[in-house]
Amino acid sequence: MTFIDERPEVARMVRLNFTISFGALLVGGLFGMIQALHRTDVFRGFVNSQDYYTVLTGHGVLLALFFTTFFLSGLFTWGVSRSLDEPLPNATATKGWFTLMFSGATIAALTVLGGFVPSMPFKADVLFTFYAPLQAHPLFYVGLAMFLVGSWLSGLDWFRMYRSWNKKNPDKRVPLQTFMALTTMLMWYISTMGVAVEVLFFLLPWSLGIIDTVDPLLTRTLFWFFGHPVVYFWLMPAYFVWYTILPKLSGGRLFSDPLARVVFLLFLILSTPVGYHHQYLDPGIPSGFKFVAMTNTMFLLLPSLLTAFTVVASMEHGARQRGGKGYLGWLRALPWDNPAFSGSALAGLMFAAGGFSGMINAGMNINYLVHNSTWVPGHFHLTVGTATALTFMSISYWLWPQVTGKRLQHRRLAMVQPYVWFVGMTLMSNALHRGGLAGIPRRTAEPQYNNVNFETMVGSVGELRLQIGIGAILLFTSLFMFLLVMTGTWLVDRRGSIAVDGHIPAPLSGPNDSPTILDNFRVWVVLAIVLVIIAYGIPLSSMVIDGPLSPGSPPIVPV
Amino acid sequence: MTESEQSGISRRTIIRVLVGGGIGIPIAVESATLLGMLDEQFGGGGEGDATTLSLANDGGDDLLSETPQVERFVEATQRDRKFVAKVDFRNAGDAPATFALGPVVTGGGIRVDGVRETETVEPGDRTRLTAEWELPRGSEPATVEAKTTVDGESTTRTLQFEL
Repeated sequence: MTFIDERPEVARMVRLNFTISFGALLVGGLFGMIQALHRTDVFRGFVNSQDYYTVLTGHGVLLALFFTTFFLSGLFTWGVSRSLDEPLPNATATKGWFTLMFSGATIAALTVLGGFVPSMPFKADVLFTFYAPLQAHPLFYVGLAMFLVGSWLSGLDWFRMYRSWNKKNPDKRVPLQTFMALTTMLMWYISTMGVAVEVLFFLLPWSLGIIDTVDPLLTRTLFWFFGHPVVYFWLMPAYFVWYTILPKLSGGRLFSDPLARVVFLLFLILSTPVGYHHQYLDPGIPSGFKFVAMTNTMFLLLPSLLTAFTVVASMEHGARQRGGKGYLGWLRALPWDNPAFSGSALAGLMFAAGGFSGMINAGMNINYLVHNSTWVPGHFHLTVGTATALTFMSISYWLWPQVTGKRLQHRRLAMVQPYVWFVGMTLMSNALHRGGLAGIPRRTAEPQYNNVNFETMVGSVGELRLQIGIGAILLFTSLFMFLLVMTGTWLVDRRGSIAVDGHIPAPLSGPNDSPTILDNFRVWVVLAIVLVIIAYGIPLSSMVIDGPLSPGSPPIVPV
Repeated sequence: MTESEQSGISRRTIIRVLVGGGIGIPIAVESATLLGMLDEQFGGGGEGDATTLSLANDGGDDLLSETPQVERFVEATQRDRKFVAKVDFRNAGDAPATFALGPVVTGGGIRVDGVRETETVEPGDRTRLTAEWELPRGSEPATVEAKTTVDGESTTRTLQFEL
């Protein structure tokens, strides 16, 4: 029996969330290609350099916030309901948070798109990093606030399902998928406090004219309080897939459930007190606290390295179950023709490269070499742009049939799609990293500057630009192939079996091999809050004590 | 051979191509980057002799003779990837002016961006513009743009080098 037959109301919510997510992916991805071609001077016929910033903002907001969060909401709704075998606690409440998120996202997106129409009164060319002094129309902040509250309420749904299950199973360990969803949301609740305060108490009143100025340093700090953990909000659903589904797709079982729990708890406690590593060049923050942020960031490598070990060990186990032999020969036994597997595995491989470039970003001194250069988008296109996006796309090949009840269509297209993404991202990200080493700045529409000669270590700037352009075209082609498969599957009539086995086997080392304190969320939340206070308490206090609105900046409204 | 077997062979071939290309291309790109960086760091770049380049179209004493300013080509040299061009600029006009060189186009048609410009030169003053570009490995400059600007109005000429 497929998931849609077991839980039709849950499957419907998953479909709705995924559909919005895929819509955001299409528009945001198109913007990404336009942006890359314009910025590199490969083709500048889509937009002018003023509208470039509308495209840039749309690309960031649609993909980094809406594509990721709607997919996460669908994935966790499926995972929590499946692993607990629980229905939605209250269908009206579920529709409520979905409607709130969708309405907020629509309002914010329309405000951004208003930048293309000169006669529109609302605009928001403030980039994904929407802190002061760039100011958007109030509707942008209202939309974001609604979206954020909706995401909080979605987590409440999953906690209510867990509570219902826990009453019936007081002595059982929390199922791993639910454990991962709940720790992700606990991290989200803590980290989004920063952006909630920033939007509600500063940016929204400022955009409405209620207050004349805001303190840019304070609002930037509040943004980055949320701005780095949001990276883990994107990544933790990918980890959820790598830990709980990828081993099964490899033909085996998860190597260690306890290690997976430790990894998610480390993300819960370490994701937030690291935001200052985005502000190494900001004045007004003592270096000592930047050093604390750097140390915490380096500690965050630990869960990623644990994941690399556990997931690869699980894949090896699966390959050996399929007859694989030898030190490396087992790799040939993996199902590289299954796009759900190949995409997730390639995404994990590329995430390793993203981890290494992330270490450069995190180091206080070496960060100065690459700060605000194209190295940074090169890095996050490996993390959110591949580890997250490619994992989401590939696992949809496995999940979409289960929530639609329809057999996957255009299978050959699906089989090729992850590889096209992988090659496209290699070309684009490699060139962005090399451009960053040459000092080429990010966040600008213009590719050239008077009296500046970017000295590349390998190749020329022209070659880098061409490489970025080709990569962007391949990425959009891959994205389009994915959406064709999803749309084709959705539109086909439901008949016969879906040819997907939704069963997830038990781990080799189960939850009972770990101490029960791992499931005590209160302990870890308290620890996370203590670390946040240590990292942020004194610097934030000093920013507020000298006046929360001073030194103040009037708005800079992009025209 | 049955249809399914044919389909199976075809599928296997596709997978071989996908895995080979999909993983091979990234490995090739990253290996080339790594080797290039190692060569740049430890390969003894910059040790070669400098080559002096001549203008193919006669520069004469004044590169932009239609302007009242005097732009005199001094020399152009290339040492490995570094290309240097020098021009003396004398403002013989009656308004402040600037002179600029760039971008450069290589013999292979690759455009190397970067415009090098003098500070504003007052009437009667003179300066020398020394402009440098990092060219793609193995390439040589074919042309460079020369531009004099007065009151926002520019006069431009493409200087060609003998290849």
